[in-house]
Amino acid sequence: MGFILVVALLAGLAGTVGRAAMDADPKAGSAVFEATCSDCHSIKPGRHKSGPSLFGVTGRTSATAEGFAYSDALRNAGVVWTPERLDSFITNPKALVPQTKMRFSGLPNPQSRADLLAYLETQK
Amino acid sequence: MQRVRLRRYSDLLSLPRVVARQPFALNRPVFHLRDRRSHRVILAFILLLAVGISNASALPSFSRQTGETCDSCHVGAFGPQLTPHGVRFKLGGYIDSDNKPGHLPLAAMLVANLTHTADPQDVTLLPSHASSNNNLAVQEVSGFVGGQIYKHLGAFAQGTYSGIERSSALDNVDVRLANEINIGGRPALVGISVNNNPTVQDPFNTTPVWRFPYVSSDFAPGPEHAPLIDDGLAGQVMGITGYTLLGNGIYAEAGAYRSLSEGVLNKLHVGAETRVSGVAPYGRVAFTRDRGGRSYSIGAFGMTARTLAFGDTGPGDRSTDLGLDGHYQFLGSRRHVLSVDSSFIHESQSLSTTTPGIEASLRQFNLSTSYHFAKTYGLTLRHFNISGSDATAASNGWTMQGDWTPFGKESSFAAPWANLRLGLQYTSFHTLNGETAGVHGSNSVMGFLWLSL
Repeated sequence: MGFILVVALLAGLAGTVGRAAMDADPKAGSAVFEATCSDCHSIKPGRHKSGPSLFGVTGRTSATAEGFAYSDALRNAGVVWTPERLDSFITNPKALVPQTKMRFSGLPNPQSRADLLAYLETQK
Repeated sequence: MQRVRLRRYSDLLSLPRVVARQPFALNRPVFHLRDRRSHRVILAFILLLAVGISNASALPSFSRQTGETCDSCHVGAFGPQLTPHGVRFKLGGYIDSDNKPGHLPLAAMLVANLTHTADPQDVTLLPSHASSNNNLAVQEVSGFVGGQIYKHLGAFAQGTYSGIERSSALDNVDVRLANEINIGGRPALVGISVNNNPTVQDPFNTTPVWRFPYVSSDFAPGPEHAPLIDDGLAGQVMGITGYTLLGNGIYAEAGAYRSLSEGVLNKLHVGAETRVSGVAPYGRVAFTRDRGGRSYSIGAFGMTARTLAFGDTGPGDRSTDLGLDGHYQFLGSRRHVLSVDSSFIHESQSLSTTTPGIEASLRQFNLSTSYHFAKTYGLTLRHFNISGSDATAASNGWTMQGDWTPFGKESSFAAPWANLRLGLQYTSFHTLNGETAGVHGSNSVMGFLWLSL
């Protein structure tokens, strides 16, 4: 009986964590963007910094934001920025595009990434 | 007996470096404009860098070069307090850019202030055009060349006109060659800095050149004693250091400084009575972490140098400075930013030439805490304490500053051209140069306007 209770509690806890990770919050993602991305990226259309504007980035093909001078690595990558690809890139940019010039070691927290992606999804 | 020195802009000009118990030396006759050829040397140096930058189609100011606004690299959207992003830009050699050509390779800065001291000052120690109190001045006008020169080569070079001294001089110079490489599968930033002031190349706001207060009045009294590494060789030397930032953790730097010749210093309008004998080794190590919304570092730095007067021979006076420093910065989503910066420097002096057989020591402690709201409103509080084997070295007190920085953000008016900071700074002494009686008369209030374009 005790064993079943522990298993049930663990299962419930896992379910809670799983749901929390999926409950992406765009508002929280805005804070993540400000803290993590805004030094190099703007969310305004056509406003490029050392990185391209991230307005409308979700679903966009890599290296296609007009007016930004991309590295050869990203121009040749031909990646479509689906949420899954963006999540992979933000986790470890150089793992997906080894020669990218983006100086960012990655965002390890899954919840932060989910929130950020939810926020970027709203910017289009 | 301890070596003492002036601690204001005048250090860069033709003032003697050893002035005992002299709170003001702005009207000293040793400073005067030199011939026009000297100005041409400074101008040629600036233009040489500018031409290099133009040829590389790089940018004049860092902001225009990167397309980023000031708040990306600076706490409170105004220099020189760096964010972790600013630290990486500096260590990266000032070369990051948006890869667009055609930006102007020049920037300018102006600092004007109004200084009030609790008691009127002795006018014989002030410039002839100054009053005993409530002095209004355009203290500094600086021109900068900064940015990518060619591929991995970048520069930060400053020439400054002093409205107090009414002359110009070559100010801070930091030319870097930097690149990112992989060491053992981990990214490492490696570089070389050629610079003219120990710690001007340091990436943290804990070491002497770039720590708070970032602007201070040349009319206000201040401590006369400071370790040699605290601007004691500013502009008088040229040094080369190699550095690396391993991953997101270890920063290490080593190099050496050597005095410029008296002739070159004269041409650059840099005042110096003493020179470094041989070379002065310099070293720096720090453990630093950038964790997104917060960062911290803890480290050590040091330099040892023998100094003696130009024309003199002998072993010289040995000064060995060892410092410990650390900082913590909470950035969060940048709406509320808190920074704590601290350093402690111990100097051992062996005055073999000026007073043979005398050993002396000096200790300098600084702790500053700043809070910035919405990248616009800033409050900073600093405690300083200087003590030494000579009782006259003792100075301690507080500096408080409130400031307003209306521009410098992505949504700001005329970004990134318009940059302004207005501030009020109050300095209070408990002890000043060994004196406690009547020292409150030296307390000062400075209102300032700081503009950069």
